[in-house]
Amino acid sequence: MIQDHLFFTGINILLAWSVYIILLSGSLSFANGAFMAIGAYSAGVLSVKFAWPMALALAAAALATGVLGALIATPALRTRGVYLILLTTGVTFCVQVLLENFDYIGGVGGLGGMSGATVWHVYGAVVLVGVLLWWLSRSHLQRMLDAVREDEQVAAALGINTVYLKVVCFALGAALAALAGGLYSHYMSFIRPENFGVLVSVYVVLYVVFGGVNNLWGALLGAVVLTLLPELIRGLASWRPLVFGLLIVILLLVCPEGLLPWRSATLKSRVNDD
Amino acid sequence: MTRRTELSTAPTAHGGATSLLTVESLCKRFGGLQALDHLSFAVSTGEVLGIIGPNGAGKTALINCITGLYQADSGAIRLDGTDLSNRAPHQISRLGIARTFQNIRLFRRMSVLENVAVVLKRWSQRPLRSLLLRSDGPIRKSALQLLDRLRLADKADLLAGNLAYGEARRLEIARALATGPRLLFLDEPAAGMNEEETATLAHDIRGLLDQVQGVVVIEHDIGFIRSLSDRLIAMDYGRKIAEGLPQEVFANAQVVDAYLGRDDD
Amino acid sequence: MLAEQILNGIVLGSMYALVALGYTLVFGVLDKLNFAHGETFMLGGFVAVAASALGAPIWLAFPCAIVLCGALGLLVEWVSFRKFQSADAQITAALSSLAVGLIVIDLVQKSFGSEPVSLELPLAVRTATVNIAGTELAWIKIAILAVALTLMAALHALVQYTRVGRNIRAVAESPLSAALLGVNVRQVNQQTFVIASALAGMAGLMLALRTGYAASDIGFTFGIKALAIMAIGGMGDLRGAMAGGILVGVIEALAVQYGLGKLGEVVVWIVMILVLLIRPAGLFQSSTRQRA
Repeated sequence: MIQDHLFFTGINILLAWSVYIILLSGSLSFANGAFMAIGAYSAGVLSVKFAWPMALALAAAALATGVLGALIATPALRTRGVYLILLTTGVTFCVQVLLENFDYIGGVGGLGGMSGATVWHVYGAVVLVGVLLWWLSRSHLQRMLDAVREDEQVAAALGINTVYLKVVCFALGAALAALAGGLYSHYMSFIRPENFGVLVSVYVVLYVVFGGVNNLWGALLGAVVLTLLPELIRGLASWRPLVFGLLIVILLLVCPEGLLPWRSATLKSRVNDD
Repeated sequence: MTRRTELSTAPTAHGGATSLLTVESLCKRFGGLQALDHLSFAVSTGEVLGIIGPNGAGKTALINCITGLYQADSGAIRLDGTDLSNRAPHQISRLGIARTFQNIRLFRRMSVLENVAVVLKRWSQRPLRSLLLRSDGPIRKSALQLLDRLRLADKADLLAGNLAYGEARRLEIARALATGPRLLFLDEPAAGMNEEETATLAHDIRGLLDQVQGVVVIEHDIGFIRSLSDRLIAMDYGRKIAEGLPQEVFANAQVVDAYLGRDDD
Repeated sequence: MLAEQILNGIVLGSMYALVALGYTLVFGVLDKLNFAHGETFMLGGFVAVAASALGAPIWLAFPCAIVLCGALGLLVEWVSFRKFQSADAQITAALSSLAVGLIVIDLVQKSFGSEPVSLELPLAVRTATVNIAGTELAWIKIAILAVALTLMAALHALVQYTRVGRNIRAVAESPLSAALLGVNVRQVNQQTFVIASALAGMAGLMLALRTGYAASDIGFTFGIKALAIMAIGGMGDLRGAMAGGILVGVIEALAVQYGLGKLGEVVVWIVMILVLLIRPAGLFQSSTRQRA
């Protein structure tokens, strides 16, 4: 039971970071639940029907979903703001209906037989991705992404290839969501299309918004708090959506940038460490 | 696909100097409004060119077309013979054109130093490489040098959003220089500055010519632009109505009419 | 049979249109998406359930739905939009209203359970038919269609010919110039939310009457499809929302008729994605823009 909670917290951290990576370049994606589904199913098919080892299946699923993400992003990122929210929501619905109507992977009935993922795997992935994001947060690339997020037009006019950066972020976010999905399917051992509805995408975005969009700790904190809080406080579990909704509404009113709103400078004029 | 043409086919007012930028018969329409109407001019190497005109004359539309934010309807723009039409803004920037923005558009949530560092030519063109090779030292040094030029080095760690007006305008210039431009467009760099700041700015801008090959300044302030420019172009309704030395242009009847005949600002 | 399926499609489509109108009205005026709108629509259905459970006459459910859903609209405006007026806050407002929607769903599920709840209609209402052009048609479908079309005509008249409508159009054009002209922008925003939410409530109520049950997840299925329809019709475009709603209703009915079922649902989303990519101004956009 406790193991389950730990596991889902880890998965949600990975998913929150997958949204955070896309948000780094200023795009908000409501399609990460769909990328998670694609990762869960493709990794599942590879290990169940083709007997691939789990690690290889996960890597292949993440890679394939990343490529798919780039293919979707290239036209989709011409839209912005609420238009992009609508478009990515549409992607989520389309993916779900496709999964339900694809008999090879079990259709509405679902796909079973995956195994092998443990809590350790998930937290291994969390640490790995966390270190990469921390490394990124101190790099020149982070600075360029901040510029793109703040004013895309100015960044482009000053020589930054904004389209490239946005597509790369979208692809990486999609790949990470797929990795989380693959781990999820190999832990649950049975998945159905309804596990990956639009609400999954919505919740994940809200984790990030709750924790704060300006640093990698915000997404982490948001995922941990909103996953564990209803479980920890007795009697709250059945009020989960209500607590969740109220927390978000109040937080946005009080502190619209999330719980951890700061952004730390990527470069100081004086040399401290280095 | 780059079409190379003979250098400096366009006329230059500056005797003998070669054309850095040539604009030929540029047109841009917004709905019923002709923002640019067959506009042609050239920027010579080593000069400060001033562009004046009442509000809505098409000056900012011109910069936006040259820097690729807008797509011109027709006409040609060449930088040293390289055709710029149909290129993305970041490509045009990398070919050597930088600009500032009339309505100050700094990255307000980033520090002054970061604003400059982020667009430094050497590091911004290969974004993913910075994950492997850290080069904070040289980046800091280059960025601080540029800030120093515009007298902003002591503000380096402030948030850009907290700068005073004049400082923000200077940071716009420092940031544009960081892209390593050959030609610099300044869109109303003195707007909102007092007389003293304006005079220092004029001096600063002339001093930039050791780093860039040409400067184009768009401005309302007649005294400022007269003292600063080697040559002037006057625009109205998207057309060029006069071109020449500052005193010639200000003596032109059409220019006087455009400025005095209509309510400006 | 085909004619009846088309009629079913038009009835369904008029519900879509009513909900999509609310989305588009709010988007036209505030330039923001109200993600709680689908739940407002859902709430309308439960007003019908409550009315029938309490034994109240069905006609009484209509004013109740208008008041309750209108009040919810006011609440959403206050909580999720009042503070987030700037263009930068577009996404914040959308997420905040989404969270309000989650709360509404949970409250409804706590009161009525998470399974669909059926409502008891008098036998006469359910089985009465009318004869139009030689075909026996269910009275309730015709009545619902008539009410929906009346509401749309009323909205059109309101926006075009009244002072409220003139103000709404002024704010949709530019909140700043409207404010300079003395229009009370906050009041117009509130009116817009009340009108949009009341329309959604009526749509939810009528859908419950038509199908005989109300479901708490309908905001996320039916409601969000209306969001897609709004985008297909052009965001902020009233006529586009009406035309798009009815078009999608008929397409879905025909998909059922020809055994395509679930695939009919995905058509809406694919069309929406294509419209957003190719014609972001909407499918029915002509040279003269008809904005809210």
